[in-house]
Amino acid sequence: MNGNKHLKLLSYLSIYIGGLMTFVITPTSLANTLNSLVVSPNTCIVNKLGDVCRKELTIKWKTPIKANYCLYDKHRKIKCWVNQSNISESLLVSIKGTTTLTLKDEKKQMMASTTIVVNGATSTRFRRRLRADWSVF
Amino acid sequence: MESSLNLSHDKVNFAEIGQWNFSVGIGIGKRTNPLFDGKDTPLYLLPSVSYYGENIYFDDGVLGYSYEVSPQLYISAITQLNAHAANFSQWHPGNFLLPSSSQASNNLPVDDKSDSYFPLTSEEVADTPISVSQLSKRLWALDAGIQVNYFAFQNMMVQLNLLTDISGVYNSINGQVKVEKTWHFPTLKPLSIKLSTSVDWYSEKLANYYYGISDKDNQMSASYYSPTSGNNITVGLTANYQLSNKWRAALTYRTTSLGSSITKSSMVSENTSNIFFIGAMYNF
Repeated sequence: MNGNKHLKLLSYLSIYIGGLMTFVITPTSLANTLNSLVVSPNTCIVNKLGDVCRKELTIKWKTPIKANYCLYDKHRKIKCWVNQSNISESLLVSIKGTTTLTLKDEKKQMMASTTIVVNGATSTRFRRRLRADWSVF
Repeated sequence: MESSLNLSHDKVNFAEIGQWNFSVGIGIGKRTNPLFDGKDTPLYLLPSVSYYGENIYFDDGVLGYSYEVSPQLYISAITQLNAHAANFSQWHPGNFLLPSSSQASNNLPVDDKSDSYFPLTSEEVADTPISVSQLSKRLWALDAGIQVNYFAFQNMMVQLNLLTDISGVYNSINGQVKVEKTWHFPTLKPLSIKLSTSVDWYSEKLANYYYGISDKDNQMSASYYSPTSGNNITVGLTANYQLSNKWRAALTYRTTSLGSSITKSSMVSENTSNIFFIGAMYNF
């Protein structure tokens, strides 16, 4: 009797723990931990801040499920892949200033993101003067 | 694209964003006044102030907001004082900041002889020069409008502007087309030479306000004059030689050929107005 009672208690406990685990490890959190997006190099040096960084980058991303995914720069679509879960390829990108790239699925849900930092070679920035530096009426 | 090294040294053509720039020219020069009995302005000390933000800028009296369409093309909304008043004013920035020249000689062929009281014919009255001091006051006007700067290949710059009087002084418009070309010399890097030419168009209303003679001037009606619109044409040369990070030697000469509708006015004695200056500029 006592053995049966313990067995019942154990089975209830295992159901409870199993339920708890199901609750904690949701599909989304599982996906977030398994998704990855890596861009290299992740910094770009331009002559002066504000200049466009045009560079060939190696893009690597991985998801647990094969599906259609797109890479975005804010809301601008850079490239899409059909029925893929693992990509490693070179892309020529043009960005102005530090930019966050995001990988999204068809429902525009973010799978992973990474940031490319754009630095100016000079800390001071210059612009053209629009009038002769000294003028006399 | 210019390297950062060149930019930081080229204070003539480039400005650091977000910084006020103060400089002063010390030397000798003159701006001639084409008006009869008008005072020339001696140039000994030329202060210069400028500020360039991302878009807004102030540079020696010009306040502007510029939009960079491309690194070659800028479109700006600007406001500035109209320079035509400078010849009439005793208080323009040059006269205020610089020592005033000695009184120009009065060449009026009247007053010191009794025969000046003989009646003159209408033609003689019309031909008699009128001193700037005998005219009613001409006010400074504040213009505002659009300026386009295009920096073309081989250090050429084309500038267009169309401005309107926003101060209610002459109530009309004026415009300018200017072309500049700068030469740099690989064998003599501190030296740069710039040639410029411009055509300044003035409207009939502007010409009438400044160079017309009417009942407001308290002159004989035979000397009344209503000029038409026209063009002033300017040719200039500027040479700069960078002596150090702070100092540079500067030479400039600019001559403006006044439009015929201006030179026909009895108040105008010269067909040209010139600026000459040689000296050294110091950047603070």
